[in-house]
Amino acid sequence: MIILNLDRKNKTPLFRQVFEQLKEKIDNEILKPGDLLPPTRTFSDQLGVNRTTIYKAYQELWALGYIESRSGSYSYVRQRREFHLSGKEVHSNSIDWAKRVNHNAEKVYKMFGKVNYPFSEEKIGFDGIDFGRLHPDTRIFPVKEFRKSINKAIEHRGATVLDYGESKGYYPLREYITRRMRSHGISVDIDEILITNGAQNAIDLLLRLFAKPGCRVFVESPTYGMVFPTFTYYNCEIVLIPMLDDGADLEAIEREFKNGLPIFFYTMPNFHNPTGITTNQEHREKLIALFEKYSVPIVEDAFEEEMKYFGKVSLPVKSMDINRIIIYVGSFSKILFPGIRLGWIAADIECINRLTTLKRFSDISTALPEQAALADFCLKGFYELHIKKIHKVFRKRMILAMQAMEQKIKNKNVSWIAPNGGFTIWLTLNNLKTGYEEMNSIFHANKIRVALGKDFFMDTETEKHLRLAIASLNEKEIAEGIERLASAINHIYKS
Amino acid sequence: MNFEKILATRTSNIKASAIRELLKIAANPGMISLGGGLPSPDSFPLALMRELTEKVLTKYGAAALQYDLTEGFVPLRKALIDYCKSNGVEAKLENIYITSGSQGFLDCLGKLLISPGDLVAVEGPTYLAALQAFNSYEAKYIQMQTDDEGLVPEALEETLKNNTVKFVYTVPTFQNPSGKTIKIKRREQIAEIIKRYDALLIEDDPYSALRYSGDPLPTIKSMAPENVVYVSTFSKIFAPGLRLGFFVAPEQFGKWMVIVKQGVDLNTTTYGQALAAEYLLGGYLDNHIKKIISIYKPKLDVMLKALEENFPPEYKWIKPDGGMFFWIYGPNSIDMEDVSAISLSKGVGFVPGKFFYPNPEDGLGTMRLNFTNGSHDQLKFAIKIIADSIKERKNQLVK
Repeated sequence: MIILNLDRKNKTPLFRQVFEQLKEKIDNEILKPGDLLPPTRTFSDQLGVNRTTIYKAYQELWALGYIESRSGSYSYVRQRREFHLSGKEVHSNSIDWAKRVNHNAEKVYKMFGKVNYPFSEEKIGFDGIDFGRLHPDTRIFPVKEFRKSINKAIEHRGATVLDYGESKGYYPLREYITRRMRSHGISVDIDEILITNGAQNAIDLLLRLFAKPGCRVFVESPTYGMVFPTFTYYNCEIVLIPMLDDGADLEAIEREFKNGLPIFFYTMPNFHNPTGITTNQEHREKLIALFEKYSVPIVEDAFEEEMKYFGKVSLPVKSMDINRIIIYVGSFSKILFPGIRLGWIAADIECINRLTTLKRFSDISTALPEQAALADFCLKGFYELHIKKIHKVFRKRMILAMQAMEQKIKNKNVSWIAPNGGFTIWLTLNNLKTGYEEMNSIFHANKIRVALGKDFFMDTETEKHLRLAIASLNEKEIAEGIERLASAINHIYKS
Repeated sequence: MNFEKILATRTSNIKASAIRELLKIAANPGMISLGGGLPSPDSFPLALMRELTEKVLTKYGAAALQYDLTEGFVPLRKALIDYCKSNGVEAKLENIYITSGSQGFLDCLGKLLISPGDLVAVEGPTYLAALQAFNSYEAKYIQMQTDDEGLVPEALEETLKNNTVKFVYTVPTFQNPSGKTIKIKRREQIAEIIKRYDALLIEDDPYSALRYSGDPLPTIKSMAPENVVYVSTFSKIFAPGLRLGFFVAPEQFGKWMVIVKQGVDLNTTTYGQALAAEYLLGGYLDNHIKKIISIYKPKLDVMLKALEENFPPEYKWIKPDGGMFFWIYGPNSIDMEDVSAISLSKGVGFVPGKFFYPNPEDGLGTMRLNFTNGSHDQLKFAIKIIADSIKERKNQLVK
């Protein structure tokens, strides 16, 4: 007879207790190979538990190779090969991963493995005021409307929204996107849209499509830091085009063309990340003419197209794209919410079809229930309402941030660019000896977090920079945060 | 502008797959397709979705719509610790990672490990989408011999002895396409060989929950935890449209994958992960799997009976204990691609097995038949048509 001690008050489920105790008896050879286990009914009567409890425990023992059943009736302990379970012990012959990975992955790890991106564990759980992350404010997410939309999508479309979907993306969503883009002067067909897992996925797919080892790629300097590891993985030579006050230096581009044409130029014409600069219509016209002349594609990252608060309208570069050299990348992450991971690429059909094949082999398609819910959300008009709402909210927040900075930051060495939209403010700290590490500890002491300029440069900066993102903060937090920032800056210049 | 001339060489390697072309024809109205590997839409837990949506948005609120860890949503990974344990895989939180479908895992794996020309050891036949994912990184393949019980351990040993392979890829339970399962003794042998050669093995396990007969088997992962990365998916036990996969690996491997995945898509949809977490935590899974099995098992029996009644005696199969496929093998003298052309003209599609081999000529006489998607009557009809098509092709060849 097998005796077990079951503790009914314990939080561990009974079947788990039975399992653990039997396992222990087998491990300690109290139960030996060939020993019969009682039939589930007998054993459950004996222990005064439900028969399914025993059944479940036996199932788990089966799954781990501890027992076998003979002709479906009796279970007996089997001769089990010694093996260790993960986490308990490391084998002397376990794999040396650093030697196993490929050259490109190793390069990315060496160069960027130490960088803390906002998606790593360490960044979560910070309780100060966070200007560091460009994450939208969860408090104004339209959760209620999204709930309605997802329920509606499931009700109306049924099981199809849970099935595999088209790799190009959910048709009604692509249809809506073409309409929305038309309001920005861009005309593309529904089949010229590919839905991606956010803008990052779009950039990765574009590199899969175009990058050859040693190819050149033009980027603004500074730029969105997450593109550096991606370009590095694909073995690109990253050519840095300086950002001037009115946008990328067009003369530098023309000079660099002479040294070899790039696969594309990655640019953010609106509220450029991190500088917040928006290029004017004239710059955009010159830019497209220049790339048309050399027949080089432009990747226009328009992740915040809708968020212009001040100044003259400038149309997307894509709206002037008669020769179809522009690959437009859009995203719902900053305007709506990022957790559903939805972005898109709009480009010539020849380009989109090839990207779609790559997408199919890399993850089949973007998740479908999210796409269907978003389509319904947009078609119901919730998206346009939400844009209006957050446009109003953030216009106010940005005005407040600018006023607070004017009032609080008096140091002559510190200057910033007033953006006419978006969520970021770029500061330049002149004549500063203090290193980033020390600055960071001062920010930490003042209970704020900011993004450090170095993360946006591939080369070394001539002056130090900070990027403030107000995306996740309300007015009170912005005012308080800038006050703390001002005192941190004073401290930094004194040290 | 002409994009074609500026494509990466890696990209031009990717051709439209023959299967896809076949499936396209088979998707035409009126066609019966045994071609796909698709779960049946009536197996999706549609009725649960509203309840799960409520739970997710009440419990996590806006956080379910925010950026999240590249590693994966913590409540889901915690729920997976228990789920994995019941499948014989011991894991801690830092061993479990979420990917955008298991395809997303295979892609990141290729991106992490494969340099152009690197060798990957695969079963012949093997899961086609894995080859497609690895092709993007210009892998070369070694095809390892399989028999009725799946991968032959001696073939694995021979492969590892004579070559430097980046990793071994296997689907040990109800393999796609063959439906075969590696028995426990072989699993132990495979684990032992992998450890002895200090090799890395990818154990892809999408189907083991769909078991209709026989006892569950221990995973190879449980026998060589430091040398095996275990990968599975929610596609078959919840819904494929969610695009959720997960893997269990030594922490160091996981950290590498996170760096790669950050570049690919930052994180897998937080919302979908929260749904899956509530699906597991709410205990819906057990009932749902029972329901799926109650739909699929009778279909398997229907197809088995139809095969026995209709197929020429030189064609053989093994009744699978689970999964979604029958694997049929016959003489190599009749190329199943020719048979499929005939059956398509009669309104029935299936996938010739040769497409699942890195060396297609090894599998001319094989075919993969899916039994989970069609209705009972459709299955009976389709098997009859395919059997007729084989006979017709035989006659053509005699003439």
